[in-house]
Amino acid sequence: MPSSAHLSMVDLMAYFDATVSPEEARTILAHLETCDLCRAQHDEFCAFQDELEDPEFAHRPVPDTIPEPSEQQVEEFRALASRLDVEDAEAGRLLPFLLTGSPDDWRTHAAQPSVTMTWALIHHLLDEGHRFLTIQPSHALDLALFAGDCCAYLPDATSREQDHKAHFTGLAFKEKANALRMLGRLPEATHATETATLWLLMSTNGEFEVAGVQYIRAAILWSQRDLVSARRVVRASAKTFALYGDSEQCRKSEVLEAGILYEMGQVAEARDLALRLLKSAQTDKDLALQARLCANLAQCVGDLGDPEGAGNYYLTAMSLYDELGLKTENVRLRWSLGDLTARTGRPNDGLILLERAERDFEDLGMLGEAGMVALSRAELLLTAGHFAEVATICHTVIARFEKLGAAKNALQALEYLREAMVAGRSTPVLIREVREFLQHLPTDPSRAFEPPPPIA
Amino acid sequence: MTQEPPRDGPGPETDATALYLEYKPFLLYLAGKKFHIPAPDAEGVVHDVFVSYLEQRTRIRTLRPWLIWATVHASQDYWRRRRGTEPFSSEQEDRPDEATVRQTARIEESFSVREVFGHVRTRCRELLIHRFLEGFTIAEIAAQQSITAKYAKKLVFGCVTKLRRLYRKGTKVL
Repeated sequence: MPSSAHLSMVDLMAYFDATVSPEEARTILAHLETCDLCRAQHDEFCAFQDELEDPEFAHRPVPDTIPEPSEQQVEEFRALASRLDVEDAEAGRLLPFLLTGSPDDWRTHAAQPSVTMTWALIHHLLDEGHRFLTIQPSHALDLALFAGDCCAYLPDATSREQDHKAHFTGLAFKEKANALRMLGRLPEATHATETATLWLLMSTNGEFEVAGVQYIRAAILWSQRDLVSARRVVRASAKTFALYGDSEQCRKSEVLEAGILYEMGQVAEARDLALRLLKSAQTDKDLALQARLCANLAQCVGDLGDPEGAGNYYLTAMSLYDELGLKTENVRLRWSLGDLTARTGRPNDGLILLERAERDFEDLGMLGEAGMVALSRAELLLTAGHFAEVATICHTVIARFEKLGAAKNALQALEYLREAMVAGRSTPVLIREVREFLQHLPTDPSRAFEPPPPIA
Repeated sequence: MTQEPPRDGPGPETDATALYLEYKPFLLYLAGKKFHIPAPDAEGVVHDVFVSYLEQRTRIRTLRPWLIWATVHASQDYWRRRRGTEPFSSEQEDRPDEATVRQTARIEESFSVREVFGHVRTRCRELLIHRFLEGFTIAEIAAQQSITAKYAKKLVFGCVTKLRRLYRKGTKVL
């Protein structure tokens, strides 16, 4: 800035960002000390920056002295909105053509001169990918990669177009990260979150979407057992969602945080957070979230020495899942409730619940889960000395896993258990080791089964 | 006198023109009065925010905070773009980072990401990831790097500026 001039907003913004050189900073500071006008502007600007940090800022009353838009402006805006609506409808019609055949065919279709790439088409591709995220993540990944490639066709002649191109490219990488996470390809997913962040930072208004990327990153860190980092990242995402007034996403982040706290062993904190979230889910009549939170609370209060409270939460969660028609979640919770009941002095009641859960899983065609419940039952029965029944269960479980085409290491673990049964060496501890080994196989498929050392 | 707007946006199905009429004055107030952007340019900033809204409306759940933050970011960016010099860009920073270039996969290549990320030094990229993705505060970054908070802030925002400048330069050759 010239020494005689007042500070411009460019100077002020750069000074506030701390992107000025030390010499410029000294000049600006010296000027602020002597110029009342600039100091007032600086103070007002700083105060406004502080206001922005207030989550309530976006809800403050609007001064009514601001002029209304002119009729011409409204008309122009209406025309623009209509044009974008048409583009959106056109993109919806084009999508089935674009996604015919293999992903290589998709790229051939996209390269045709008759196809005009628009933001709306990218949106439709991203939404389509998101739809497949949990049911077919490999397809979701193909769609995210394709959406990313399509972004290269978006126009970038003006700064606004460049801005949007960076934004949509960031969103494509975000979906890529999400799909890779679902596929368990965690290092690649981590890399994709970083690329997504950098693209979104290149757009003017990427902060909100970066919070979504942070959520994915936190879930990845959680899977990698880096719980301290996972918690920091998920809290940062919740803060941004709160600033943007997105209570649904904010709550989603906090639910993840409660899970992380539980895994960190901070069970009481996890319970308190889950209780607060449950209250807000009840206010919003969000049954799915209520069910999930009640299941989490059951685990928390069970660990905190209140089996009765845990049982009640399980029952509430089960009835909510019933209401939602989510049968598998209901059966999963019956399994957990059976385990809890058996562990807390009522083994026979627990066995009845487990038997029913096993039958329900079988009816649902979920033979793997049925096998795991059977192993829970076997552990309890062996503790009570019912050897013959346990041997039958082991044979049934092996048959189920063979039918499922289970991995070699899974069958090896079960075979070891069967041999131990025949030799009279099986113990409840061994059954639990085998069950836990099978449970963790999906996240560590190459792991070999290591039998526990024999009791001295 | 003031008027209290609805706390939550009316949702994506609401008529866009009605939202324009309802929110434009406040967004103009933010850009013009709070950020001192000259009137015609403030119109342009707010117009771009509304275009972004129209393009992304299916993803936006709470309209009012979204519009406000979009206007704040656009207004900040308006002034940042007007700053002609990069106080700490250097020859060193403009050299491609070979490790990054090697790591880029097919999708990244298709975006010519080398043109952008390849020119941002590893330290710069790490700072951006620490601050914006991993959720470290400026004070935490300063402690990690054994530098002052003020310098950490300068580095982080300098990296954002540099990234955006390189991108805007790079996309022209895509």
